[in-house]
Amino acid sequence: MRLREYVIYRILLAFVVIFFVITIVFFISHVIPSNPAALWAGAHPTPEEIERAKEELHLNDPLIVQFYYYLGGLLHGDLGISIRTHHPVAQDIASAFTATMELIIVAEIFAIVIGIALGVYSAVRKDSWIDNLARLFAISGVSLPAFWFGMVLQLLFFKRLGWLPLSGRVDTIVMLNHPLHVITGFYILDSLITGNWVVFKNALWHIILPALTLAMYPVGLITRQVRSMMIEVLQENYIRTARAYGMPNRMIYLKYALKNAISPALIVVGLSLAYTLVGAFLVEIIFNWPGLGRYATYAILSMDYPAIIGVVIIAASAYVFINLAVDLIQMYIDPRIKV
Amino acid sequence: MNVLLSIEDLYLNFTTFWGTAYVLNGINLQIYEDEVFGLVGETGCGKSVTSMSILKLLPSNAHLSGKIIFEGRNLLELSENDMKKIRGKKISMIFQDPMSSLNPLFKIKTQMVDVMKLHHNISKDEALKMARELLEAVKLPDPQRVLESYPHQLSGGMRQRVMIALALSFNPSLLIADEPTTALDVTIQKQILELILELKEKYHFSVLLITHDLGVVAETCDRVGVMYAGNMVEIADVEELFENPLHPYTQGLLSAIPDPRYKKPLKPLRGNVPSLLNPPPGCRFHPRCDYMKPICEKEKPELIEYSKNHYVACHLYGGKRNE
Repeated sequence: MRLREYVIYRILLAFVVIFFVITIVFFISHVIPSNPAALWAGAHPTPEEIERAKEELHLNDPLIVQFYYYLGGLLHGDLGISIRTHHPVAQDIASAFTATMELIIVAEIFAIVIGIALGVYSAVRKDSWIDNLARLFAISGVSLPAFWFGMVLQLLFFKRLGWLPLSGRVDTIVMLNHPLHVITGFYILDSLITGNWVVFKNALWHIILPALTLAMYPVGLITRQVRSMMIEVLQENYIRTARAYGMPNRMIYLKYALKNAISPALIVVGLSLAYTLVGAFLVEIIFNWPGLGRYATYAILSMDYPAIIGVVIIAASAYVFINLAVDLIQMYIDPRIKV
Repeated sequence: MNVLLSIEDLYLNFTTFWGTAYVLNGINLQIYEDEVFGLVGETGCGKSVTSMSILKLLPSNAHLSGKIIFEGRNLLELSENDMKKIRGKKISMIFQDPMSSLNPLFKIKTQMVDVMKLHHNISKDEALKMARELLEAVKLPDPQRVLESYPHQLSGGMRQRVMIALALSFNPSLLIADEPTTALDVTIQKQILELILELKEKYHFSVLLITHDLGVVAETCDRVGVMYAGNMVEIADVEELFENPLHPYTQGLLSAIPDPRYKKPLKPLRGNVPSLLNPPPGCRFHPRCDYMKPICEKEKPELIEYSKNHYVACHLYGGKRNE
C-alpha cells in the first residue's frame, strides 16, 4: 500500500533529522568552555575528585568516542546523568515533558477554538467593527511578548480579581489532601480518569492563565490565516453552488467553507505548536510551571550539558513529529493530497 | 404559451473602487413555459449576471432595480428567506465550470444528500435513494460509485451530470444553465446538451441557456436573446435570428462564424467592448457600428417588436413596425 510506505518513509526521514540534531547539539555543547567535572564533583572538590569525575564522565576520551558512548546510551533510552541533579536526565525530562505537553495541548486547544471562531466570524463579517477588533487582537497576540502578557494576566486575574491562582501546576496542599494516582503524567487527564475532582478543578484553574498566555501567539496566527482562507473560499464557485441551492448560511460557513479553509490553516497550527514549545520556556518561568522550559533554563544556567542535549533532543523530536502529524492529518482532511 | 419568468427593465450597478459600473442597462425578456431560451453575447456583456440576478446571488456591492416576475411574484421584493425557498427548488442552476462548482472536500453523496434534505422532509436513506435515482436519470453508469467519489475522481462530463442531477432534485420549473458546456470537450458538450433537452422533455421545465457559442444556440434553443454591453439588442426565434438578423451587432456576430465551405475571410467586429464604468451614451454599440446615425449617440434605442416575435433595439428600425 502506497500510503503505508509513505508514512514509513516519513518516519524514517524524521529519525534522520533527529540524528543530525543530536550530532550538532552534542558537539556544540562540548566545545563550550566549561568544567563539567568540577560541577559533577560537588562543592569545593579536590583535584583528585575532579580527576575521578573526569574518568566517570569519559571526559578524557576523544570527543568522537564520547559521542559513541552517548549514542550507545541513547539507544537504551539513557540520556546520561544530569550534572546538576545527579538524576538520570531521561527521568527528569519525562516528568517535565508531560507537564509541558499538558500546557501546550491546553494552550493549543484555546488557540484553535478562539482562532477559528474569530477567523470565521471576521471573514463572514468582513470590515465590521468585530473584524477590526479581531485584527487588533490578533496583531497584539503575535507582537506582544509572552512575559508581558503573562504578567498582565496575573495582575488582572490574580491580584485584582482574585479569580485564578498566581502560578504553579496544582496547590501542594490540595495534592497532599487528595493524592493523585499518576497514570499518564497529565494531571487533568489523570484526575479525570481517577475521578479526583478536587485535583481536577485545581489543576484546571492553574492551567488557564499560562495556557492563555501561551495561546496568544497561535491565536493571532490562526485567526489571520483562517480569516484570509475563509474570505478566499467564500468566493469559490462551490460556495455559489451551495447558495444557488438555498443552503442556509450557517451550513455554508461551518460545514462547506470551513473544511476548505481549515486545511491550509492546519499548517499554521503545526508551525504555531513549534512556537508554543519555544514560548513555553518563557511562560513556564513566569508561571513557575514544572515543565521542560524551566528544566532547560536551569540546565543552561548551570552548564548541565547532558540535560541540555536531552531537552533539545526531546524538543526537536516533538517538533519533527508534530509536523509529520500535521501532514498526515492534512492528507486525511483533503482527499486530493493522497500521496 | 404562458410566460414563466418575465424580466422587466432590469438595471444593475456595481459600486466598485474605480466608480460605478453600469452592468445591466434595462433588460427585458420573457421566458415561456417549456421552452429553451438562449442568451448569447460576448464575455462581460452581462449574461451571467442576468442569471445571477434572477436568483439574487450577487455580491453585496450590487444594486438591482426593475422587476423579475416569477409565478406572479417580483423576486426582487422577496426576502432572503423566501429566496432560499426558490433557489434550487423552483429555479435550479448549473454552472460553467463543473470542476470548481462542486466542493472538492466532500463526497458527491454528502453534497447531494445535504441539498435534498433542505427542501424535502426526508431521512438520509431516502435522500440517498433519491440521489441514486437522479444519477441514473442523468445516465451516469454505476451511480453507487459516483456517490462514494470525491469530485476530483470524476471527469468533467461526469461532474456536469452530477450538477444536472442536483438541479433536478426538486423538479424545478426553470433550469438556468450558465455556459454548461464551455469547459467540456466537444463530444461531451453534445452529450450534455442532448441530456438537458431530453430531461426537459421528461420533466417539463424551461431552460435559460447562457452561452457565447452560436453553434450551441442553433442546436438547442427555441428562442434567442442577444446581449451587448448590458443591453438586450435582439430577441427572436432561433431560425429567424440566423436567417434574418436585424441588429448590426447580431449581423456582426453571425458573419464572424467561420464557415469551412467557403474560404472567405472572417469579418471581425471592429473596436473593443466598452468599459461599463464609462459606457458610451445613447446606443452602447454606436462606436463600433457601421450604420451609425446622429441619434445613436444621444438616445438609447428601445426594444421594439419589428416583425412578429422578432424584437430589436436599434435606431435603424425606427420606433415602428415595418417602417
